[in-house]
Amino acid sequence: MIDDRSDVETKLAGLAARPAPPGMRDRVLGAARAARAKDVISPRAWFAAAACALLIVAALGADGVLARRQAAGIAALLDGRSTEKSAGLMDWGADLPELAGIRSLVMARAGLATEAGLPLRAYRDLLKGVLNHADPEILF
Amino acid sequence: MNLEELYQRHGERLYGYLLFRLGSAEDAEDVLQEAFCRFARYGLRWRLVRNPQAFVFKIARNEANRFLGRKVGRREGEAAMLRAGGGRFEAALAGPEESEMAILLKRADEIPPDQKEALFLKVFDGLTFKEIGSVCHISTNTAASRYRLGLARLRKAAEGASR
Repeated sequence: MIDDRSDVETKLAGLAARPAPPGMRDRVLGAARAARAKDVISPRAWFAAAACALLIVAALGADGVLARRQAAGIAALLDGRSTEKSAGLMDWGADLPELAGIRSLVMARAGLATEAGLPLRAYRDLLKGVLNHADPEILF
Repeated sequence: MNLEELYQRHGERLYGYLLFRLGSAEDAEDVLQEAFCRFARYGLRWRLVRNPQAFVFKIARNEANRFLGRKVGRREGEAAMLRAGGGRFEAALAGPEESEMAILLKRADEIPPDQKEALFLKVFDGLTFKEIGSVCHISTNTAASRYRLGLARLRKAAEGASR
């Protein structure tokens, strides 16, 4: 008879679990070892993965450095200062005839700004939108 | 993680739990194999595991749900299992010699599946409520409450059986 309340839990815990089928341990561990062996990355794959990671990091780093240098050059150009970097930028588009119109416009305004002693930022602001909204016929 | 050591510690109990969940020895063995294959692939992840016991039971439970999902052709394997009545004590435990215990076991299979699972994990696998909560994706309090409710139902059933 099950009279004591705590006895239910004890009796339930006393029940034996069904035994595992013979050879199950070897089958399970064999499958697990095979899965592990299949997933192991070879040294050559590790090397390739590390090389790719380094290349990606180098490309990202170089991109940042180049972007900063370019931004510094543009800022110097727009401020009317001639620096080694901006001098190089002044040559932009010289070898592209289709940019001649824009180039001459920008250079003329930059020259005007320099002559007038005005900050080039004012002219830069004037240029804003010109390239987007102006009739291409005016530019070229 | 050493696979032999892992099997030594948890293999048999996981098999018992899967037998309870799935009701078939073949299915339980298949799912146990899948779970151990998963353990084998978790090379670095083992270092992040704080409670290996709860972790292996959780993985085994997830594998069982995936298996049921594939078997019944539905995504929600767990829901399908719950509809089918949940785990079965009779499948996981050897038939008792005493008729009174056999009746108790039969009654134990009539309690709600979530309570039955909490009862099984606590009584037969020795998991704490916190571990049961982690395995079943429920809070510790919910796990404790399910266990107590299941036990209360079982006591009631046992009293009915003894009369």
